[in-house]
Amino acid sequence: MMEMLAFGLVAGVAVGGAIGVVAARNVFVSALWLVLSFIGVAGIYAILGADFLAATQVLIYVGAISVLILFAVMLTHHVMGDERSNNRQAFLAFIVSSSVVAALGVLAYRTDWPIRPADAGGSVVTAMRGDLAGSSAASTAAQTGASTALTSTVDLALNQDSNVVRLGQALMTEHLLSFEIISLVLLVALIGAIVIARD
Amino acid sequence: MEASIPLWWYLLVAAALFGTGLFGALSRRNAVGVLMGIELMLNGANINAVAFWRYIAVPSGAGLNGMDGQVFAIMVIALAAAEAAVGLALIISIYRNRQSVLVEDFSTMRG
Amino acid sequence: MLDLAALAANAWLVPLFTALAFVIILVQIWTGRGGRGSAYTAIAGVAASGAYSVVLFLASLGGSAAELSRSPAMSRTMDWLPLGDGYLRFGILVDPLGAATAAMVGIACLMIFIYSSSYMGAEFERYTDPTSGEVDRALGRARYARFFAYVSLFATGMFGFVLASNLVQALLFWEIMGLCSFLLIGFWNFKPSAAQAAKKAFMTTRIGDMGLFIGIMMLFAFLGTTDYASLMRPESLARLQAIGPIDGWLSGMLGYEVYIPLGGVSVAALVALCLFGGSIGKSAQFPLHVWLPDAMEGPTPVSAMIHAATMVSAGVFLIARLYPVFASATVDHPDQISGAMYAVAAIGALTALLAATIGMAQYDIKRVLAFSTISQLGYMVMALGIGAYVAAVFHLLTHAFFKALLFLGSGSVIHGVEHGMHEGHSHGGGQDAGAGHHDRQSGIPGVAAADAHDPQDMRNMGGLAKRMPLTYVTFLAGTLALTGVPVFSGFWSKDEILSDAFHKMGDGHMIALVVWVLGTTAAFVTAFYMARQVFMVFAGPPSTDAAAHAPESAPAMVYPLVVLSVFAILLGLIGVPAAFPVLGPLLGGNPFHHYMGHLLSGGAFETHAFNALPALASVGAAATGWGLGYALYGRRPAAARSRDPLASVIGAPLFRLLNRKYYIDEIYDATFIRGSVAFAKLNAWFDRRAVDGAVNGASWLGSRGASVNGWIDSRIVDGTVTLVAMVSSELSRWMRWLQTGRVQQYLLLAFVGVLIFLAMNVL
Repeated sequence: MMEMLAFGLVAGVAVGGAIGVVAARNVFVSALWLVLSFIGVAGIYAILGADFLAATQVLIYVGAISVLILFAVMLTHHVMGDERSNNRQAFLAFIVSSSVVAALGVLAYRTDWPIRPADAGGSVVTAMRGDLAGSSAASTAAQTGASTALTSTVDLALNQDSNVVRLGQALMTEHLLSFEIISLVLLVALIGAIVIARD
Repeated sequence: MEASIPLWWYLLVAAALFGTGLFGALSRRNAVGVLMGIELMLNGANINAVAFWRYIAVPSGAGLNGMDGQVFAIMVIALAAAEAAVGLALIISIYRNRQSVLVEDFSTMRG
Repeated sequence: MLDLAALAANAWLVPLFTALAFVIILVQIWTGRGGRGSAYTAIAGVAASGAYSVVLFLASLGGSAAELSRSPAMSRTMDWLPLGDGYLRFGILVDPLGAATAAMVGIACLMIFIYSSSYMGAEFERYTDPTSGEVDRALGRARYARFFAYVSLFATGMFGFVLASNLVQALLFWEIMGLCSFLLIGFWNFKPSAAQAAKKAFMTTRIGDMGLFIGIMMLFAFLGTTDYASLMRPESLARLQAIGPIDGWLSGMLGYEVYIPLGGVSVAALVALCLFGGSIGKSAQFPLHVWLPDAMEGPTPVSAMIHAATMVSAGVFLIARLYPVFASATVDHPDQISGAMYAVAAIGALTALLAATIGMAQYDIKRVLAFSTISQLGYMVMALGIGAYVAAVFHLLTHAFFKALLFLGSGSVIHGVEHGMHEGHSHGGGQDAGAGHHDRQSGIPGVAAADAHDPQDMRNMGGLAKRMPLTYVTFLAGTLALTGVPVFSGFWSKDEILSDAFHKMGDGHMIALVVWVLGTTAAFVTAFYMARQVFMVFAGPPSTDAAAHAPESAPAMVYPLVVLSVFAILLGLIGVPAAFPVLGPLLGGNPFHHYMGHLLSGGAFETHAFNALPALASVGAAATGWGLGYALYGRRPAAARSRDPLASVIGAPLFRLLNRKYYIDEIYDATFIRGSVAFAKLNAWFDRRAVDGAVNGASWLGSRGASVNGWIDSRIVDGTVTLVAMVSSELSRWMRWLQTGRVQQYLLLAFVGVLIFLAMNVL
């Protein structure tokens, strides 16, 4: 129940922030709403058990990208007066995007997803479950939330197979090529951004 | 996962973020606003990737350690950072040359 | 000492050396140190690669033949990209085919690099500063260095392609070569014709590459792998064959009966034909041959290396590499010539003859050789098509050497004539030189007159044998090899193709008859146009002052010619048929055949009794061609002719048809290019009339829709006829609305499309 409440909270923050982004008339305000939405998404990652990703989300999105956007807004700000913030196709765009949301929602609900069984022993992600403050293991009635958290912390400390370790291994082994390419893309984008913005 | 949150809740939130972002990308006049919409769409896609990673059975093949969803999300975040940097640089550059950040003014590609 | 296994396992060094040279030259250019040093870097790189590949080849030849026959593919791979259940592997595969081709590429490239270091020296003085009008040596040096960066990268691509262990990896290097070809054809990109030719080459080969890519994806889809080693396993080929014809496969997949035209073609044949598409583009086979003649806009060493010796034979190499796939591309008779093979043989034979006949009526010294290259590649392709695998690879190797030699020789000639033009001017002074520079009419309507300032026009040459003796002798050696004069290398390889065709003909294969007849005819035509070229360029008195003053080229250009001509003369001796009288047993009973034959089904290849008839026929064809060439061009000097003697023999219209290359370029221009331009114009017309439509946007559409409704309500009786008209007019309004230059509208439309797909799933 707690979990659902938490989920409702962060999902509300994420979606509410997003709506704020598109509803605000002023771009600067939009950018602030965007920060809120990003924090909400970080919360969703945390609930999903992707703790490293949640931290990354806060660092990269909230810390870096949002600041970058705020800079851009401020560098170009004064041109936006009291003009309309949306273009002429806003109504059509609303219809199309809400239809997309509806269709995706229906599909997500109706599809019979091949969910992994809750307590499959030896399952690849078993080790990571513990770090969730009581999302899966809490279903065991014998354990209280506190003891779960305690065991999982101990587990994590002892178990080399933690989330971050596994992610690092994945990046350095099976996804090594993509990792290298992404690094290269980042480098190129960096140089490109400097070149474009400088002249 | 029975007692816990069903997968489709996450997917719905992701779809909502994606759709909101899409609306922003389609309707904002300010190029920075469009960029923000795109960031929201990427976040929606990311939530999907992580949710699927958490919920869906992964094939246990040799040498695969089942972190694909998170790896994808990290790749997307990295790409989003690159995209934001280049996109904003472009916007600033165009602003300098044409004194405008309105997307409708960028229509030199009209046939 | 030469441990084959260790050598093969480290063969990744071969492309690495040239890649290193490429990087070093780039750094030199960036730091402003490009110049002579870059040429030495490139030569050092390719010398290292070439040495390694030659050693590798020799090692694989030597005592280890048994080793190779036991495990025909020595390879080393590493996991590269996770794909489905496994990995895409990046690796090195060394087998007789790869080792022999790599050695050929190494030697040919080294010679060409050395040659280029002198030939491209003109680059230093080529550029002038637009403001001061002085020679811009810094730019010239940078461009000179850039040339060597490009060719080094190209050599990397070729070595990597030849030694790749995986189709995807091979495609990667294949595209590197395509890129370098584009860059080098357009190397003098300030010439519009060069820029145009580069574009044409790139886009034409792209059509073929599309087929190759589809073929690779189909192979992956059906067999789950793109490794050569796993593809070639009999189980894999059997699985591919078991899929059966296309219509059956489609029906099985869709769950209901499907009838499509040509549905009886097996899926295996479809895959093979898609892969063959890549070869058609890269090896300039009909109908995608049009880019290669234009590619002669590039510097001559580039024509020699990329567009004669190495890259264009990559297409042939690809078929040879995937030969088992082609051979298995049949439904009922696995050991017959398959459907795909028929197509390969037919295209090859057609190209061989078509290109050779065009070559008869060209005046540009390099274009003659370009069409000759297309024709010879056709020989190789048709040989593969009739299953003459060893003969095709043999011809690939010998052709690379003598065609590189011919191109470099022609470059030396062009170089000499260019210098002769400057000399003629400085010595003779304005008035005198002018007399020799009158443009002469071709005497044939529709055929361009000789431009007196064109150093590549053979009508401006003549008498060069005395001026450039070494170039002449080596060029003649290459010509004799190409025309299949006995003992020279081209004779053995070409003859082996034709005699294989002759033997297959005896087994009752109709296509082999076609191949043999067309091939022998092409041999005659080849001898004729090469005789024409030699007589026009080297014999008689000089036609112009330029030719009279042409000096012999620098040693760095001439010595590579000598080395290559040694190969052009002697290389054929490794493949003398075992049953050939006297020579066969003397030279070890066709060692090349034994070496290469291991690749095919465990070394079981057929050797047939020597038959004098095809050999005599091809020698006869060559002799007739030479004789005719001498009769038309050798007896009277070019300067004394008002029009081309060939035109007098075959008639001006036919000559014009050949000179204009059967108008294939014009046909493509009228259909594909004009067609797409017209389509683009149509769209542009819609766009221009759409300005207001775009502005009105969504509200306009809404009100329009409302008025449409009202209109229907009021006039519902008017019926369907007007409705159809109205729908189409509304549609055209929509069309006009499309191209506004506004990204957001495009995105909106894209998502309307997404929505349609989503709706198909939801509803």
